[in-house]
Amino acid sequence: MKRPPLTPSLAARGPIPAEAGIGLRFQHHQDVVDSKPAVPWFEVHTENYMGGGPPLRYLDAIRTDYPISLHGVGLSLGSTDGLDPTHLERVHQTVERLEPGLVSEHLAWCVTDGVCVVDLLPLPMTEEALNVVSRHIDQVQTALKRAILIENPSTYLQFAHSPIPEWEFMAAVAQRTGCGILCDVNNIFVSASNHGWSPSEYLAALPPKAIGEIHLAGHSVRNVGDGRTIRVDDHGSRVIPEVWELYAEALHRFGPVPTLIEWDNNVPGLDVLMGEAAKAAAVIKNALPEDGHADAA
Amino acid sequence: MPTLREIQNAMHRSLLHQDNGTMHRYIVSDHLAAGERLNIYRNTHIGSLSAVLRLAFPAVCKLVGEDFFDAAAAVFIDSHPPIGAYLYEYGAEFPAFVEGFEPAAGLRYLPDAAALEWAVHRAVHAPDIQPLDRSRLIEVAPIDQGRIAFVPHPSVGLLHLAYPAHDIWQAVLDGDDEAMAAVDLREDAKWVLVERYDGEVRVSYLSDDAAWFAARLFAGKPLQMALESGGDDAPVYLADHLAHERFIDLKLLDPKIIH
Repeated sequence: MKRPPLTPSLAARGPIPAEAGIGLRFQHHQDVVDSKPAVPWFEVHTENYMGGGPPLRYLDAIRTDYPISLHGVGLSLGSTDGLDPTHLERVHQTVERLEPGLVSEHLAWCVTDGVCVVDLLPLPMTEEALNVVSRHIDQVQTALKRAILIENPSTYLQFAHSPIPEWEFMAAVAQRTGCGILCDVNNIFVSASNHGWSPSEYLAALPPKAIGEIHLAGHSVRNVGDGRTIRVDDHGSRVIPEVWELYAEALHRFGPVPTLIEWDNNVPGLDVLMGEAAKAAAVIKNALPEDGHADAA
Repeated sequence: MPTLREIQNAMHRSLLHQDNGTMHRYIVSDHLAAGERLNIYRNTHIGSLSAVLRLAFPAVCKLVGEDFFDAAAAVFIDSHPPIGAYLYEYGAEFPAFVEGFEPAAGLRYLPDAAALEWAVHRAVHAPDIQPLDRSRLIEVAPIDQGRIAFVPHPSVGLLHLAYPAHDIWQAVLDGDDEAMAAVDLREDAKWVLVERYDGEVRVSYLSDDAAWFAARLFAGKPLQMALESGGDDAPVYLADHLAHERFIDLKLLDPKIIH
């Protein structure tokens, strides 16, 4: 498909800065267009902008002022069905159309026999799954002609046969495919709490140079009866103090990284999201070396 | 040791059909039973799709109330799992489901309201596609014009509604109780055209002649056949369709197929 060359402003804008951005939801479209808030970048769900009409018109207006990152939820990278060519082509068209600074997807699957479960389902951490996921990431990166980031999941179950620790699996995927890692610090905390892992060990196993973005979000603690609980990543509240601490530890290891505040359910006003982003910005500032510049090494 | 395929099939049987037999063997049960862990995923699936349906059918949801809507949605989701991850396309069968949903049978106008909302939803999210360049019509020799078939824009929908679903839809979404009370369910059936034009979704009524003409053109029938069914004003209807950019392409049908 022929498309116009980059405008000077788009070309000059460059990639996503190592600052604290916000997940853009439909209810904030008008507010962002009208008030042009001081937010360094926005991330949107790829699947929300695959059609046309009003959502895309808003995003076209917003992306003239802000760098945009595309975060997909539907490619089902771990599915033994293979990738859905229609969905991949839609992702491709959306990436061509919106020229995002970053493109990301999840270490998960949702489709079997052409039927989709609407959640990010967990994979057993096996050599077979590693092969399937790596092959599909290769396919996506070839189709999009760019590297993507893969996000570590929140999980609520463990497979009886799952011999590779998830952190090693993530590192292996990055090493095999050249993709980056979207390190969701909240997901690490949730999964580590649910399965008795050490979140610090998880962070320490990730290759710092592969980390392209960090996600922060709130989660809930669900009571399942008899005093038993499980943490569920529902993106419906503020980031909890333990996750802020883990985030500081992550930045200590990785250096300043573009960081996103995600809030997808019970979405509050933009001011609340900006307040959370300001907290992340303060942590990023602390992670900078004293001359105020990120260490390129 | 199960293959990934076996695990994924078992997990789908568990999440979509409540058949946990095999899946229980594949996952660790500790302080939480396997079934409790799987329920978290099942609940997200149903909750997410209910939210998708609520967004696509806001007036239906208001008419029946959220609890009733969610209960109906859960039945629909069970019998209609999505076949793709692009969820703006999820819910096309919901109006037909509503029509056959016994607990809602008392609200006779509900299927029409659902059909209208789906057409509006499609119009909102249809891809941006360049409209037909009208100069291409002029390029067709007069003798061939009768066998022109148009391709409609994907935002365009034509509905024949037995009940004044448009009035109900407008009143419900505006929260206008007076307008709702004024709706007369005995009104004649109406043709409704839904489209996105200049970025905005528009809903308008068509006369019977205009609707027959539009229905044929939108179905890709030859222009000659549409003109014969459109009455004296057919050329005016055609001009209106072109002016509102309701077509994205045209082709010339084989004369052998037409006759």
